[in-house]
Amino acid sequence: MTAGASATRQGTELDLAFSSERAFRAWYDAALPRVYGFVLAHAAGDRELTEEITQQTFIDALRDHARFDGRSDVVTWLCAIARHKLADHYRQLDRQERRRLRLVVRELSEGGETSAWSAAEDRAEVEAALRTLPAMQRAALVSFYVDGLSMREIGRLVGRTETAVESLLTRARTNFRRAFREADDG
Amino acid sequence: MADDRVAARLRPLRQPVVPDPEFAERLFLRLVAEVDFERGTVRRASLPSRVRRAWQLTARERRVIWTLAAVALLLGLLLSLAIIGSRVPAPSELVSRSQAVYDSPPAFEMTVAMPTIVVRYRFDGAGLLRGDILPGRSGSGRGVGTYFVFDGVRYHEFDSRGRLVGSFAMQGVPVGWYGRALLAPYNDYSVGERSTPLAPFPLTWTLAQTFELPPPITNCAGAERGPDELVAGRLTYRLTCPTVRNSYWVDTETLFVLKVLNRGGEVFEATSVDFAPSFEPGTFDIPDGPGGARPLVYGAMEPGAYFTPVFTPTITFRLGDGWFNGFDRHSDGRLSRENVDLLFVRVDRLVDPETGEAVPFDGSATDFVAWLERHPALAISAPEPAQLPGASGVEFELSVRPGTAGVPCENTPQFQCVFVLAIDVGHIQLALDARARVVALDVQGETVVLLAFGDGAGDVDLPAILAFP
Repeated sequence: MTAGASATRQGTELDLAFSSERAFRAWYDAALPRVYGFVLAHAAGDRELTEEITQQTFIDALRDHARFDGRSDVVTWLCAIARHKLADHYRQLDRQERRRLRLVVRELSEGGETSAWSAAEDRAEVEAALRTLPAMQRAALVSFYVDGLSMREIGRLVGRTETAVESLLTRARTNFRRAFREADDG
Repeated sequence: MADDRVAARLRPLRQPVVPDPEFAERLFLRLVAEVDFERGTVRRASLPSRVRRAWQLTARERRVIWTLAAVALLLGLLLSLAIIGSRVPAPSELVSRSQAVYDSPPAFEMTVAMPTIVVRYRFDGAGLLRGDILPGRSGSGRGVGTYFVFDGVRYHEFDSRGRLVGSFAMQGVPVGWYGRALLAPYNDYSVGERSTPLAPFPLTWTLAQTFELPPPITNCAGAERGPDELVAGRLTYRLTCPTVRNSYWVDTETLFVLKVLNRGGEVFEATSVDFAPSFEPGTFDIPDGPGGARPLVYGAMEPGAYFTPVFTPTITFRLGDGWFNGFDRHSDGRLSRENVDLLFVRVDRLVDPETGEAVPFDGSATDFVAWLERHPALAISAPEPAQLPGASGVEFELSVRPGTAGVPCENTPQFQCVFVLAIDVGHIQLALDARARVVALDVQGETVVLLAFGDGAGDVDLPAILAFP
């Protein structure tokens, strides 16, 4: 399918949602869990924050619906809006964290595999581990592994250099793995 | 652990999640209100225009009622504020409000007399704290006129002539904001192993956790309030915490703690306070250190001269525009710029590439180069003499031998790497198609290896920017 054909189809889909309340409900019910799940992943399970950002995302998307050019899936577009709101949130969190005393975390060499890594874990446990990470490390980890963004894209999003993102990602991986190891130990 | 394990671990986050039905319905109703289904689009009206339109559509009698209600609400609000303002808070509320002040304290200047020392604290309201040792009490062993500037991570300690003695990482968990926490450098019993400013030797330490400075009042369930008193000319609430048996005098206006009486009978008391201070330019500056350098700190670097406060042997860098400092650790560090990464590593052990077991290593650059030449996976160009200020050694180019099989690189798994060196915080890898400019140096009995990667590696004038003081 060409890009032009795709654009026409997606544009019609969004326009259709505005044609009646029933159509809008169907579109909303299909889109909400995907956008909500996307935001929840970045918010490390913080439901209150997720609801706030999801709500802002939908309201902004509605008001700026003319900007949607139909070249991507509507939900992808919604997630892009949410991503920018999350980036603002991460930057704000980062500033708050930097204001407080932060001591350097010693990055130990990784030891052997632990049992937690060999078992399938549920979402709540992953979110709990993510919550132990500083905001920027969480942003880098989720954007890289869940969203599939490149380091350059992540850097543009959070206002860091590509090298800085790489460094963030290294520390995020270490701390994420450590969080699971501590959960095992504890 | 390979990256795909992290990816696998995070995979559940890709799934859609059904939100709380109440939230979903609330949001739906809010969105529906904005959609004009007749025209098949979204209403453009702004909130003020919608309010104005609703007002115009309201009957005259109802407008009068709404106006009266709004006036009554406003008066009620003002009255409530007046009552709240005049009410003396309960002790537990005072404790929590005082604790909240220290989340993001404003600028202040405060001289505090402690059992063995008098310190004039100045806080810039943005994370920099300066403490000057004043005459008055002696017994701490700290010199009058010396001072420190604390940047939230390190203490930068100065002698009485304003010369930087050194920068030291925080070692212990602080236990108070200005009472004890800020006294950590001066308090022999606060930390098990001292590594603090003005110690005879510069120890540093990194903790395995992130800590936040607690406020002065902690563990204060069941706080009791005593008579109000003047401290440093300011009215204070006196609070006593039964659990820790400490008493605190809390400024009625700012809720800063101005005096502490601890269970051991020690008193920490502000003798002068200014909550609207004006500081002279340079008060919080961290001026020249060794070789006119400032200590490296994490993040983007302004052009200038820096030294490594943690990595030893100390390296001095004279950096131009665009450099970023990623690490400064005991065994390695990393500076980067747009198209070049500069790693510096202290090599203290080498392993057999086949078995992974340690091999004899005499700690010299020559022995390191000989090990590389024997390495089955790595190739080096002919070493040439290298001379840097304060150190000498050899320079060569490092690459992977053609035909060598690699493993996915740690940070960029789409590329293949080979293992080069183990350091105490991880290891160094080299991509199969990468080339590194390497300078191996003998410095004060240690082998320090500098590795420059990237397109711009050849452009970095190492002798011009590096020195070993």
